[in-house]
Amino acid sequence: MSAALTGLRPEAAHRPRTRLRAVPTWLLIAPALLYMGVVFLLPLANTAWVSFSDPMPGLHNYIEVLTTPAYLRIYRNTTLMALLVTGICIVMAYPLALYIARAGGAVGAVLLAATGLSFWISFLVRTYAWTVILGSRGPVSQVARWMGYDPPPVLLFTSAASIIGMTHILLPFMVLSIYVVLARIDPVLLRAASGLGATRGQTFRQVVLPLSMPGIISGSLLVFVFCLGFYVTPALIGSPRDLMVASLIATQIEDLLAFGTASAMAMLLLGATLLMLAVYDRALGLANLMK
Amino acid sequence: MRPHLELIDVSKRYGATAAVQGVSLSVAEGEFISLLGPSGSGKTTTLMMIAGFESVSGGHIRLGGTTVEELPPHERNIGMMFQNYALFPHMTVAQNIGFPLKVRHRPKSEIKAAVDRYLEMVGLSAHAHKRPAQLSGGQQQRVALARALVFEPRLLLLDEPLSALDKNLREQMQQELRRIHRQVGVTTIYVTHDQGEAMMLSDRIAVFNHGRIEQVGRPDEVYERPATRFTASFIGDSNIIAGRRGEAADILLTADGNALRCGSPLADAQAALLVRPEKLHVGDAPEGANRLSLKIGGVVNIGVAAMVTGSAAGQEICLRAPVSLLPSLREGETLPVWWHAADGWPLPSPQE
Amino acid sequence: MTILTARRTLLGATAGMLAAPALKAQGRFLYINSWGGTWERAARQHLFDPFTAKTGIEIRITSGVNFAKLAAQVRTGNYEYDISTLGGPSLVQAEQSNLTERPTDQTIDRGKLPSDGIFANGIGNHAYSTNLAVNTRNLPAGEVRDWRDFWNLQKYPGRRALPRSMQWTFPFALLADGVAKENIYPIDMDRAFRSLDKVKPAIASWWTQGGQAQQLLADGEVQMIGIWHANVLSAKRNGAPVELVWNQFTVDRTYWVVSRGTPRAAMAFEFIQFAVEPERMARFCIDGQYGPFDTRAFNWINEEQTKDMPTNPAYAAGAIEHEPRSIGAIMTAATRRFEAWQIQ
Repeated sequence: MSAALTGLRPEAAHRPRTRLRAVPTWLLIAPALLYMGVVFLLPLANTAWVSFSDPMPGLHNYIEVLTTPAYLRIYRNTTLMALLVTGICIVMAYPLALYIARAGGAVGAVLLAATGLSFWISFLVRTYAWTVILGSRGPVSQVARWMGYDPPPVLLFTSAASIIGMTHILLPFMVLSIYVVLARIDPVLLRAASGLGATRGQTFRQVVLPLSMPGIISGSLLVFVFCLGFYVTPALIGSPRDLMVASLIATQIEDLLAFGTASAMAMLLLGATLLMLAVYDRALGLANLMK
Repeated sequence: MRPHLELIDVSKRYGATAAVQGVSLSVAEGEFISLLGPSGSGKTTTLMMIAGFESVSGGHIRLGGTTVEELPPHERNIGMMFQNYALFPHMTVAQNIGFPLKVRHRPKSEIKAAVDRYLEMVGLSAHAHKRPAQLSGGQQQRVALARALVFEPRLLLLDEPLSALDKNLREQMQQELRRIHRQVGVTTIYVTHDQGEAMMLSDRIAVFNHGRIEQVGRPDEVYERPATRFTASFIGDSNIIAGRRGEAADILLTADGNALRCGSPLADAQAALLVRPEKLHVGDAPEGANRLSLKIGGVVNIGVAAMVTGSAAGQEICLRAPVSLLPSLREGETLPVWWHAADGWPLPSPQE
Repeated sequence: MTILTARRTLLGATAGMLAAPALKAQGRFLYINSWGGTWERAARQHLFDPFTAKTGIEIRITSGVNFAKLAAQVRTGNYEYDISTLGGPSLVQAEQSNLTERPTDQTIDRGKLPSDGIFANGIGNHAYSTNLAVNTRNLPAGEVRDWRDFWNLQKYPGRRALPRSMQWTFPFALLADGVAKENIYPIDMDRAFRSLDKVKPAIASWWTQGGQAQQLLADGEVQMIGIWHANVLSAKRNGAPVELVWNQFTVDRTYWVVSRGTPRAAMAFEFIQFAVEPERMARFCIDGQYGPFDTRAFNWINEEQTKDMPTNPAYAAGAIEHEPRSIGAIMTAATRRFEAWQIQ
C-alpha cells in the first residue's frame, strides 16, 4: 500500500514540473516586476530626485529636516508610538494566534476568518467608530460611569486613543503572521518535549516560543512599518500633540507646497525603516547563532 | 522478581472502536522487547499509553512497581524516540541532547559532561554544534537516540525509528541499536511492523493483531512455534496446510486425502500445520517423512536458491530448491517434496 | 508601507496624475474640482446642469479640493481638473506660485461682474464663514458670545476644537486676547501664539475637515468650536443641539479659478461667467446656505433665506472680512511654527 503510494508520488509531482519548466521563470515574474517597477520604483526614484532638487539642487531639504528640533521630535514620537503599538500587538496577538493554531479545524478557521473580518470594513469607518466608542457618551464612558467614575476618564483625543485605534487596525496582521508560523510547528515536537520531561511552561518557553520567533518578527516588522506611516487614525482620534511623520509630510505638501521638504522627510522615513529592517535582520541572525 | 514494566489488562477505546483490548505484558529490567504487528494492530497506541500521550480506557500500567497511567508524560521519566526523530530544529545537536537535562534543571557542568558522553556514544562528537537540518537522516536518528537516553530514563520507547531510513542505513542502525542497548542496558520497548527487524533486535517479541497480543516469546519461539495462524503467517515465510485431525492426534488429514504427521499433537479437530519453506526438501523422502506432490506454478532464481511456488494438497506451497535443480524445474510439472515430521508445527483452528 | 504612505501622500499629487485618465479629448467636457456634499448638490442643480443644457458641455466632477493637486497638475502638465474654487489666502498663494490662468478681456466680460469681482486671478463666487459654535447640551444657548468666552477655561470648562489652518484660528486668538476687530491685520504672530498657549490645554482636536468638525460638535465631544457655518447648519438639520454664534466670525470669499495651461481654458471661463450671474448665484447660495459674492444676488433672495448667510447685512457688525493678501503672506511661516508649537 505504502509502496504503491510512494511509487506514484514522484510521477505525479514530476509531471507538472516539466510542464512549468517550458516557461522561463523570469517570464512568470515579469508582470509582477513590471508592476512593482511602475507603481513603486519609479515614483520612489522620483521622490528621491525631488528631495535633492526642489526647489534647488543640494542637500538643503535634508539639512532643514535634520536641524529642526520639532521635526526630529515628531520622528522620535512616531518611532516610539510605532514601537509601543508593535509591543501591544505582540502581547495581544500571541495568545489569540496560539489558541487558533491549537484549536485548528473548523473552530480555527472560523476564528481566523473573524480575525480578518475587520479588513472588510473601511479603514475610515473603523477609525470613526472609535470616536463613538471612546467618546464622552460612548459605551466605554457609560461603563466607567456605571462603575462610579464620574466624570469618566477622558479617552478620545488622547495618545491612548491613538494606540487603541492603531492596535485595532494592525492586530490582525500580527495574529496572522504569528498564526502562520505556529500552525507550521510539528505537534510531534511538543510531544517530544513533554516526553523528554518538559512541563507545559518549559515546552512553551523553550520550544514553541523560539520556533514562533520568525512569525513574531515578521509580524512586528509589518506592524511597525505600517505604524510609521500612520496618518488618519492619530489625526482623527489621537491627542493633538501626537503628530505623526505622515501628517507632517501631508502638511508640507498640502499646506506649504514644499515638495522638496516633503520628499526629504519621506526619504528619511524610508531610511529609518530600512535601518530598522537591518537591525531586525541582525538580531534574528544573532538569535539564530545563540539559540 | 517483580517485572520492571507491567501492562495489566490495558485497553483503549475511541468511542465505539477498541484500538487496544485487554493487553497484558510483563517486561523485565534491561529487556529489549518488540511490539510487532501490522498497522492498526494497536502496537503504537499501546506505546503511546506507556509514554503517556494517550490515556488508558481500562487497565493499569506499572513502572518500577508504581502505577503511572495517571501521570503526565513529563513526570514518567521515559525516553522516547519518534518515528520522524522530532528533533528541535532551532537547537544545535548538543542543545537537543541536553534538553531533557536542562528542563530537569541539572547543573551546566553536568549537562555538558553527559552530552559529551552520549555524543561520543553515538559517534557525533564532531557535529555537536550543527543544527538537525545539517545532518543526514542516520545522524539525526542518533541524535534522537542520544536525547532519549541522556537522562537515564526508566524506559526507552522507540516508535518505528528506522522506517524512514533506506535499507543499508537501516541495517547499520540496527547494529548500532543492539550495541547501545548492550552498553546502556535500559529496558526498551520497540514498535515495528518489520518482522525481520524484530527478530534481529529483540529479546522477546509481542505479536499484535486487532488490538490484542497474539503471542509473546523469544524470536525463535514465535518463529518456530507460533501460537496462532496469524503469528505463523506474519512472521517469516510460511506454508500452512489446513485439514482435520486424524485418529492419531498428531496426524493431519488434508481434503485430498494426504495424511501428514506433525511434530506434536494437534489441539483442534479443524487444524493446520505449519512448515517453513527452508524445511521442505526435493526428491525421495526418507522413512517416516511427510511427502507431497507439488505442481510447479513458478520458479525464480534468487542466487543462493531457486524459489519454487506451486500447489499441493490444495494449498499454496513455496520452498527453496538447490540451484543445481534449476534445469529440471518446469512450470506445470510435478515435483516430489518432503519434510521431517518434527518440522511440521501444529496450528489451532482458524477461528482462533 | 511607510514608503507607500509617504509616496501616496506625495505622489498621489504628482505620479498619481500619470495614472489618471489622460484628458486628451478636446471634446465637450469640463472637469471641476468639487467640495462635495451640500456644495456639490447645489452646484449640480443650479450651475452644472443648466450649463450643460445651454452649451452641451458636460461637467465632470473630481472630488477633494486639494491645493497641492493644483500645483502638481500645473507642474506635470497633466490635468485632472480645469476649474477649482479657492479661498482668499490659497488664491494668493496660487497666484504667487503661478498656478492659475489669468482672466483676460477675451475670456471674461468684466462689465457683468461687480467691481471687486476679480481678485488674484479668481472670480468671486460665494462667501462662507468660520464661526464660534456651541453644543447646547451642557451650555445654554446665548451664554457664550465671543472668543473671550471661548478662551475662558475657568468659567466654561470642557474641551474645544479649532481649525488647524491658522488663517481662521489667528483672528480668533487675537480677538480673545483683546485685539480690536479693526487691528487684526497685519497679524501679530507672536501675540497670536501667546494667546493660543492659554487655550491649548482645552483643545481636543485641531480639525482639518468640515465633516470632522461637525461630528466633534454634534456628538458633544467638544463644548465649543471654531467651525465653518455650513457644518453647523448641517448638524442642526440633523437634530443636533448646536448653536451658531453670529458674532466675531470671519468671512471667506471663494473664487473660481482655472488651472493654468489647461487646454480647456476658454470653456472654463465660459462656465465661470455663466455661474456668477447674480440670479444663478442666488439660487446656488440659497440651497447651499452660502453668502453670495455679488450683492445684486440678494434681489432674488428673501429675508428668511438670508438668515444663515454670512453676507447677511444684519450680521455685518460681527463679521470680520479676511485680508487674503495679509494672511497669505504669513501662511507658510505660520504653518511651520504651528507644527512645532502643536507638539510641545
